[in-house]
Amino acid sequence: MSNVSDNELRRLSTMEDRIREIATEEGLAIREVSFEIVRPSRMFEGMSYLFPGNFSHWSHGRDFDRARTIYEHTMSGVAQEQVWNFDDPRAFILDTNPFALKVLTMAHVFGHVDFFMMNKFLQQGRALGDIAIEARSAAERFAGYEQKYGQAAVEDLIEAALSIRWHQDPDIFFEEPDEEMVRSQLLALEKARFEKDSRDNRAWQRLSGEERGELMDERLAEISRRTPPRPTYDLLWYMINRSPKTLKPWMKDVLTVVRKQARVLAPNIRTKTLNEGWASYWHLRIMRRLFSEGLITNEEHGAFMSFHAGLTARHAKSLNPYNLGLAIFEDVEERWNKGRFGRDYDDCKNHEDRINWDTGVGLGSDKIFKVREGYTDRMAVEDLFSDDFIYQAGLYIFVEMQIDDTIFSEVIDASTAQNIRRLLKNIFANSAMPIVITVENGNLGGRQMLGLKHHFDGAELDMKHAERTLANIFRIWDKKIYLETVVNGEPTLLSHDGKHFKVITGRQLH
Amino acid sequence: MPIIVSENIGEPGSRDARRHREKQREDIKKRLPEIISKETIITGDRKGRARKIPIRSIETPEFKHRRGEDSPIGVGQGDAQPGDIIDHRPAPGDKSPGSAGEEPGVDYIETEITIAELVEMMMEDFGLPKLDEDKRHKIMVELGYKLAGVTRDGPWPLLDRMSTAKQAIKRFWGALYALGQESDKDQLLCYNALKQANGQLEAALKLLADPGFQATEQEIVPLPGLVISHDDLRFRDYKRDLKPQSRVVILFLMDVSGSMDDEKKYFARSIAFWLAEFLRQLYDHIEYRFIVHDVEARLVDEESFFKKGEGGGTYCSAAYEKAVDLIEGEYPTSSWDVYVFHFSDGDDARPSASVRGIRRCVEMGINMFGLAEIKPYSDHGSELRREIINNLPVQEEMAEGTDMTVISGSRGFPFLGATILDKEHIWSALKTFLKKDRWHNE
Repeated sequence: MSNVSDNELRRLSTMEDRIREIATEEGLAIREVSFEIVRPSRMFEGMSYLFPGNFSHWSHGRDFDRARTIYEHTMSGVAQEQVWNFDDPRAFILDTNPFALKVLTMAHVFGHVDFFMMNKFLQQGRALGDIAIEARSAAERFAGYEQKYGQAAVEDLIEAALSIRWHQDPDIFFEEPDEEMVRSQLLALEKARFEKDSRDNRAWQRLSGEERGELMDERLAEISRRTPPRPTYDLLWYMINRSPKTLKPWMKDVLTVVRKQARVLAPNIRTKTLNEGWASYWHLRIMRRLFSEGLITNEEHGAFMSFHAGLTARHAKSLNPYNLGLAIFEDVEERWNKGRFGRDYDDCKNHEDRINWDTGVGLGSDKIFKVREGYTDRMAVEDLFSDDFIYQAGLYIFVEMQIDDTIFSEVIDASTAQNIRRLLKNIFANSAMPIVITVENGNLGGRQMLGLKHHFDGAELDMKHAERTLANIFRIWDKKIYLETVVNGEPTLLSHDGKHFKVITGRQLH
Repeated sequence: MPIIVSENIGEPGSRDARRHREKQREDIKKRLPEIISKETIITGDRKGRARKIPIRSIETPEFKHRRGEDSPIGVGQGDAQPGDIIDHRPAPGDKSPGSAGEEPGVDYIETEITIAELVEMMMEDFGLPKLDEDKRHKIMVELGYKLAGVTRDGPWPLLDRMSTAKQAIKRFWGALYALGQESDKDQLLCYNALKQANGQLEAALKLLADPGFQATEQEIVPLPGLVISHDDLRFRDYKRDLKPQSRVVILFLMDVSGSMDDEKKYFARSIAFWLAEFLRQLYDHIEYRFIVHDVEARLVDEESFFKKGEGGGTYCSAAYEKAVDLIEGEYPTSSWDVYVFHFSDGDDARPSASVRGIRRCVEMGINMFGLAEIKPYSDHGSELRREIINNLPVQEEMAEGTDMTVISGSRGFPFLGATILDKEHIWSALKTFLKKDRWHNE
């Protein structure tokens, strides 16, 4: 049974039309959006399955339960909205939300849709194909695999793939070229280097022709054997193609689907703050217009305002993208309207002058549209997070420490603008997976063992998670896995052979 | 584009959520030994039958940065100044049976599991230590009176009107049939005659004999009051309400001399808690008694039982004698199942008297005598232990599937002694105490 009366539905339709008109006037890119008013459980599914109709897995069930628990604990006023970055965008509206919140959802969604259409990174995400149709068809195939090969086999493989799905090339359009092609290029390069050495290198010239030939053969043979010919970031891709375990077609299918979905979602994750900020910026303006035009009542506007305040509240121990994203656009708009950018402004050290700085240049609107078009969250931190902004946004760094049985969170002295920028850049650089791992060698010791390398950046790995992740990689690779990393400041190899996890201090891959 | 109002078709979310909860249970099962030795489960109120403990959801493992010793950091927003404490919370390790440290700023939504569910899982893991119904002592308990069935006489207030009316209706139809047989007239005419004759069969027959007798009523309406006899009266019957109830008493004995430190007490408490929870699943009624001893034994309440004592010497026999008295006086083994568990660190000044005490307890027909020696001073075992091995029908062995030595009674001697050296042995001891074949006197 639906909670939506015909009358409410008619009114919502009117609102949708008006919101679209306003959005068009304001210069947002407009698409027809298919809005669907849904019961809570369908909303939770929307929120927990990545794509509508996506394949079944307990991890989705877990997220579904979480969404439901949050909803049941708060009942109203949660950001329960779901919109997909499709060519024909789809969005869910929660039927138990009061009218004002349903209208708000629509306004918010029009902001997202513009961001999807115009942000160049999200355009990339969409360009990879019709992921919605692919997800639904994968769901059907996977269900078939479960019937045929058993639930445990399928769900374990999905889990293994999920474990490393974010370890891909940061450029989602980068496709690993064929190994043979890379290899022949590397061989040609090596030969050219030999010729050059033969001409120019004194030490080299002292060797006999025979010695030179041997050396060259040896190095060329090494290149011919090496796989991957160059280290690759794309763990799943490499394993799908090179796993010594003869992966059955259904296994390759599962791994490929999980990899592709992560690839499509990566741009969303990297633009999350800006995207939510943009949608919040526009819902705020659109709702104000609707109220001033008398289309929503005083009471409804009040309900909206209190919801908006909750949605964009600062969180003491995490970043609220609705708050931070909205603050970015409002700050940028003001600064570019008043000309607070460029050399003159940056060089001005007089506090009074800075506070009153206003050249009346009026470039704010132009600038925020540019930001939504060409920025990721990390780029925004780099370019737009001025010291003043960091101060105004109330950002700080906190540490957690345990004293007896209590964990305390304390704001640290080192919460300077510079440090905050650095930390935020790290957080946003690859929000999905801040740990960089490459496949170095797929035929370690000539025994098809897998050599991985953690590109150490000062932060060490958690051993418990590393053990379980390596165990999952083993499920796909089926031969011993080595991971080069740093433990307690020492170069260390971690290994997993499907049964045992070992920490070998002082060793490296080569 | 029209706004669609959709109905739910299929529920993939609920189905996958169920699967996730199954995985959680599997995970808990794997970590049971760790979970059951958590202090917070054991302490807390006794009425905790429905008490729940939080459990984590299952995470798909990913490479993560190490947290913990090098203080985890995060970014937050607000008015806070450097040095401000913006939050404090109990450390997760002691709060829930989870493992890895939490991320800063992430509030986990947790599901819960009841103690009873945990016990059930442990039972499965131990290999069904379920008692046969008939192995438990049952007594008839009177719960009062209950109404049951009907009888032909009784006091008027218990007259069962429905049953009585049913009997009368039967009699009414019977009368109609008899009239029909006698007079050879149809049922409707018989009914009219019976009604006019006010239920008198003789008079009705006379009326029917008159050829001019006409039916005035066109429909038969059964009248229970029309033909009535004392034989139709039915009364409600009542009976004493008796129910077989299985009942058990656990006598917990503990050495409270100075050498039993907090850690040993904690081990004892942990084992006692789970033993009680197990037996609670098996019996309708459970009682606990607590006896502490140094050189003397006394009955105490539960709270004092687990408190640290200060006493000097130790006579285990004192506690065993007290247990014998208690069984004789209050818990005859003819109507009670009796378990005796003694927690000690092996210290005993009169081991031979203690062995006699154990023998007396066992001879009274108790179900089991359990002795847990927690971290005894000598690795070679205590004097009491040697005395037991030499004088009782027991043998020393490694408990199956553990690295813990036990002394177990043979030839139907229900005795089990476990030596507990570390936290993992809590699990081993429980497993051994509850092992299936310990439950029956062969």
